[in-house]
Amino acid sequence: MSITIVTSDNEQFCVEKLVAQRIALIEDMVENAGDRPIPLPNVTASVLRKILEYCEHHKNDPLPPYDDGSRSRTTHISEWDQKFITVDQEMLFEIILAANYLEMKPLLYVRLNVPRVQCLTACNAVAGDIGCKTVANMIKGKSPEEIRKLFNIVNNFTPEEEAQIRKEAEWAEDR
Amino acid sequence: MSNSVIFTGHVQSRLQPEKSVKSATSVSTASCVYNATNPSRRCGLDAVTNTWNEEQGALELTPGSRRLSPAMDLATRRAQNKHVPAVCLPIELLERIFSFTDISYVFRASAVCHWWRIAAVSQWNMSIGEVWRLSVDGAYSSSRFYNANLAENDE
Repeated sequence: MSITIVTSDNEQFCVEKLVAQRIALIEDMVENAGDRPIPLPNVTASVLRKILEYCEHHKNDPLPPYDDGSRSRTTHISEWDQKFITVDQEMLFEIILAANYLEMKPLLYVRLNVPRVQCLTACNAVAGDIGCKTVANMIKGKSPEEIRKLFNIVNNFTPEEEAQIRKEAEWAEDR
Repeated sequence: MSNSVIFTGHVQSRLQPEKSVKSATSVSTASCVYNATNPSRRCGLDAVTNTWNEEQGALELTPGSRRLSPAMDLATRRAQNKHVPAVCLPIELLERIFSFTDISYVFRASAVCHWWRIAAVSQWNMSIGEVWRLSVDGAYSSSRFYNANLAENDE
């Protein structure tokens, strides 16, 4: 069985229900929408295509371990995921935002009927996290100035904040 | 890519160059409000701005520009960051990103921009909270101080 999803730029996607159910937001909408197409006003076709590609590839993945936040988090990204996330910066951040908006979760939680809150807490192997890990890897080993340059960020601190940051840097150097 | 914003041509805004602001300091507040809200007067003010632009050149709003007041300069820089994808992320996503790095990188991230600083400080507090929780659950709970406190509370 398949469902139809309509993106913000009015492109229609026919998706296998089991794959779409990996996306919590769509799962909720399927119950109310019936046979009607599901609108996703915050996601463009290009981003949804990428996310569905991810869902399709990972649909049979084993259940990721429950993450209560106490364990150290790894930034390891598998080879396929690495290729998947090799996109320009704009797309990278759009994937992160879209995955967060869609509340993506591993497919197996649907089958096991794990409570929703637990699903979202344990959801550490989704496209959004691959994006977050990628950004984390990008900022590693870089100075604030290099990070600004990398992401085109403008230094917008107040003079008071600048003074505070200078103080903190001096404190860190002393340690 | 330059980050400057340049006002060229004829403007319709009420943004006044320094020169006009200085000349208006002697005028009462009431008349300033009247001038700014009255459409015909406003056109007059815009004309003054346009004349100033033609004579003095366009007002260039570059971060750090000497022509801008510190508040205006800060507002311009904050506005520029609103279009940067890395700064458009909500706090919880930035925290998630920082959670994949060492605390030293969270510290560095706090010196990137205002928004990242808010997220980094929040992430930092969570990490400190985690250390505190572990110490309470672990070493502290087996310490004599903890037991002494327990005994005190029981009383």
